Order: sequence, then structure tokens, then C-alpha cells
Amino acid sequence: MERLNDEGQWIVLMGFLVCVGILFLSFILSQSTLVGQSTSEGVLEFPKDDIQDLRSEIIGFSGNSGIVDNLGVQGNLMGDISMLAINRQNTVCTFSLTRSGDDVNMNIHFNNGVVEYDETSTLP
Amino acid sequence: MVNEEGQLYTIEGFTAAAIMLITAYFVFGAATVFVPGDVHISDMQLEQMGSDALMMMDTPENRTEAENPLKRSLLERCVQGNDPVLFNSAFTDYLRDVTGATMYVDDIQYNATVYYRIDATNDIKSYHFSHSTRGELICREPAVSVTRWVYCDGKPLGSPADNRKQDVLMEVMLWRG
Amino acid sequence: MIPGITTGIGSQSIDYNAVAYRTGVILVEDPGYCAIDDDIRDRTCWEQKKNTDSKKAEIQRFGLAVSSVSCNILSISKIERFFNEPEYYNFTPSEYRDRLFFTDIPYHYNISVKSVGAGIDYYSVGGPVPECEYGYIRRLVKVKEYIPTATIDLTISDNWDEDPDSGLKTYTVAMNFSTLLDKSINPAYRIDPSSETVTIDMTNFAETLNKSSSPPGPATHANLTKIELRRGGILFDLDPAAIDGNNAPSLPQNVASNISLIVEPEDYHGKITSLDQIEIIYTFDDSPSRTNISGTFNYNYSTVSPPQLKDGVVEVTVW
Repeated sequence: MERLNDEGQWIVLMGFLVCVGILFLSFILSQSTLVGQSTSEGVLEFPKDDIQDLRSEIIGFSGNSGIVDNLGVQGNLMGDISMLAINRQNTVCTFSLTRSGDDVNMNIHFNNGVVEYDETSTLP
Repeated sequence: MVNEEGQLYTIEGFTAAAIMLITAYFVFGAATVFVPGDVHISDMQLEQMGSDALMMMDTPENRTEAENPLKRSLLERCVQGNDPVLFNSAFTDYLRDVTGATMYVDDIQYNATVYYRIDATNDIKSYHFSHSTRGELICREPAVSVTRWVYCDGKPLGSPADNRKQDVLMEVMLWRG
Repeated sequence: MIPGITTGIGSQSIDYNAVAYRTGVILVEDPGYCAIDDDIRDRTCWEQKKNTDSKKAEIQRFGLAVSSVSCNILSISKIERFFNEPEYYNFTPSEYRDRLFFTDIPYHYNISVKSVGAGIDYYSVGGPVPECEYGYIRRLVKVKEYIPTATIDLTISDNWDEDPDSGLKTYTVAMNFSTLLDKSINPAYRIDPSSETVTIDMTNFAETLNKSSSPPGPATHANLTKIELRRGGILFDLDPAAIDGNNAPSLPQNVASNISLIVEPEDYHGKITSLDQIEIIYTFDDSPSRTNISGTFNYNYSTVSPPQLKDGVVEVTVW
């Protein structure tokens, strides 16, 4: 470069500056998309609706004495739910309903690998 | 070797950087403005919409309905009676329901499938239940899937499922058409 | 400094969507939260707070759901208080922000609700929605209607007992809260007079009038002197909403055919445990008596039709 006139050095230096600028900018940009993406991904990933659905379905069962008192039927439904959940939702689901006096005890287990949910409650 | 010209070059460099930053600001700012599809109905919103619609169809409208184990909700009636027409009209109405606060109108397509278990073999099988006008084929559009458990007191009418009390899974794929 | 400027650009629109989503969840899946006091039954009944600055300040979180276990089922009285229809609390935008968005960022918002079935055409709070660049979420909901009017038709003889003796006559409407708020009934379908307005219409009152000639000629009307609400040993006076079609009459008043009564939860200061019984006592004081009415009407699930859930939609926009 020594034989050239020294303006060339300046151009190279400016090129460097510009490159650093672009790099910096693209880094920031990729970061900011990530922020937005992870927010909505977090929402999509958290199975709020799946858990609510499972709960309401099982609470619905608890009002049906034909399901609570008939262990055969309950076993069948449990088979349906756990097999379908494994196949279609990649989720491990189990539940049980047992009668104690006037109340029904409910147990729910839900695990999709990211979120685990266990509930034990007494339904009147 | 260094003379005053260097200062000028530096100033020029800063100006170039400023111009670049401002350009980037405008370009990326403009890009988000002109993609209303991404802004308004990301997957998250579509999924929430679909879950809500199925949940509303599965919510009994009064106590009498809620306490009748055979016919609890519209969704259970649709699946048990194998009535895709009723499902289609109710589901489409839910998807289109708006308050009118925004000018935005969605065009959501869906395709609903029912999954069930054969007790004897423990296999999971499915049958197609319903779809929107352009929802027959799930094309290249990115789709989200929402599911809802449906209790059936017997075999869903005209379906290949077992004839027993069972729980089937309604799976709906949703995408913007 | 530069990252501070630029990160804002990229994530803004998506961030708004996340805020809208969160706000939507708080609104439709949560019943709200407030400090407990004597006026309310529990911490979720924020809509029953008195309309004073200090009481309003005790509302900590807005939520429209009927209860924490019934997602997407909204209470119509909460909707009316939240959207200020009719005018009541008149919350300021900063009060909405503090109790709904929980952030220092001064977001603009527009929240609207529609439920044709429940008689809500379009309620909204916040500014007009801009044309673009806003976060948005739409939630489908059911709106739990007001408790349907209880009609006491006096042509049905089971609704009253005949008491031909002369003297003061009383008629009682009894609400037993252990039956009404029974835990086995899903909160979404309960008749809950402690959180909703109750309307009681007594119709065909003429059936009970004294037809014998003891006052000169058959009676054409009776004299209603007071309506009281009794909870335990405490009595409150109530004013009828209408008598024979005339609104807001003052007592004593002559009655020929109908008495309409509206009881607000605020009338008896919300605090009702599930064991409480409330009685509404109508007193007719004539001498000789012009009405033969006596007896009790049991206000419960077999005599009053339960509230229905109507489809609705809530939209939240944030920018």
C-alpha cells in the first residue's frame, strides 16, 4: 500500500468502521426479533388451554356417577385419555376419581416434557 | 503522513454511519408496519382463538344442560350425533365474532379431525369431521393445532369408533386462508 | 445508547401483542382482587365496593370472570362496572393501567366487549384504535346473564296461603343461601343474590283481596305499608321498584295488582355466609284487612329459572 497514495488507507479504515457498524446492527436486530419470538413461543409452549381442558373434562366426569362408581368405565376413559394424549399431544396424562362420602376426590397428572401439572382436590 | 484531511475522513465516516443507522431504522420500522398478517394474528393469537372457540362450544349454557350427563354441550352433541354441518356453522360463527373495535377482519380456515381409541387393540384411529370452505387441504400455510376432549356416552353416530362410553379427542388445525 | 434505541424498534409490535395477550388473560380468566371489607363477601367481589375514593383505591386487580374456576365466563355486573355502563366508578386511564397492565409504561389501550344475547351491544374503554402497529387479542367468552325475574303469580294457590282473619298481614320471600350457593353447583350456573341483583315481581295481587263485605263492599286494593329485609335479627327497609306500574312509589301505598321489587346486593352489605337465610317481608296493614295473603315463597332453583350463559367476545388492543 505504500506506493499508493494514502487515501486508500483511509478508505480501508472507513470500510472497517462500516463493517463493524453493520455487524453491530445485525446483532442487535437478531436479538430483538428473538425477544418477540420467545414471548409468543413462551405462550404457545405453556399448555394453559390443554390443562384447563383436561381439568374441565375430568370435573365433568365427576358429576356423572356412572363414571365415578364404575371402575371399568373409568379405566376405559383413562385409557382413552392417556393413549390419545401420548399420541396427539405428546403428553403423559393420568387421572383418578374416587368417592369419599358425598365428595369425589380427583387426582390429575399432566406432563408434556416442559410443563408438569399435578392436582389433588376434592369436588363436592 | 497525517495531515488535516484525516479529520475530514473521520467526520465523513461518522456521517456514513449515521446515514446507515437511520436507513436501517426506517427500513425495519417500515417492514413491521406493512405486515399486518404477522402483527395481528400470530400463531399465539390463532391458537388462543381456536381454543376459546372449542371451549365455548363445550360450555353448557345453563345448569340443566350442565347436569345432564348425556347432552352437556353443543360440541358433545355435534360429535355424538355426527353433525359436521352444525359444527361448521357454530365454529365459523365463533371465529368471525368481533366487537367491531378494530377494522381488521380475519379469514381463518380450519380442518377438524376426531381421534379415538380402539379398546381391543389399543390403537389410535381417526376420522375426518369437518372443514371450512377452503379447508379441505392443509396447504403451505403455517397451521396451529388446538384440541379438545369430548365425552361420548356411546358410539358417535355413524363413526367407526367403539360402542362404549368413551373420550375422543377433537383436533382442529387452523390457519389463515 | 444505540442498543437502547434499536431494540425498541424490532420488538415493539410483538411486545404489544404479548401485553395484549396478558391483559386478555387477566380480564377473562380472573375474577379480580380487592381488599376485604364489610361490604363484600370475598376478595373477588370488587364490583361491590362503595363508590368512594378510598374504597376505589382498594380495588387491586380488575377481572371479569364469575369465579376463578370458571374461565371465560364473565359476570355481567363486573362488565358493567368495568366499562362504566351505566356511569358509576368513572375510573381514570391511569387507574385502568395500574390495575390491569401492571407496568409503568404508559400504554394506550382499547378494550371492548360485545354480547348480543346478554344485551351488550358494544361497551368499550380507552382511546380509538389506531390503524396499525398495535398489539391485539380476541377472546371468546360467555356472559352470565342477570338472574331472571322471579315471578310470584298469585293465581297459583301454592304461592300463598289464605288467612281470612282480620288484622295485619305479612307475606315472606325466603332465600336460603345454603341451597342457593351449594358447592356442588358450578359458580357459573349459580343463582347468587349476594353478587347479582334480584328482581321479584308479585303479580295478580287481586286474587288475594278480601271479597267478603267486611269493609263496605269487596276490596279493590290493599295497603302495603312496608317491605323489610331480614338477615338474622337485623331488619332493613326496602323500597319497591314499582306498584301497579307506577315507578318508585313511596310507602304506604295502595296495591291492586302488581308489586315489583329490586334487591341489590349492596342493600344488605354483601356479607353472606353459606348458612345465612334472608327473608323479604311484605306487610299489609289494614283494619279490617283488605287482603287475605299470608305464607312464604321459597326462592330457590325450582321456583326461579337459573341464569343463562350467552355468547360474547372481548377484544383487547394495546399500542
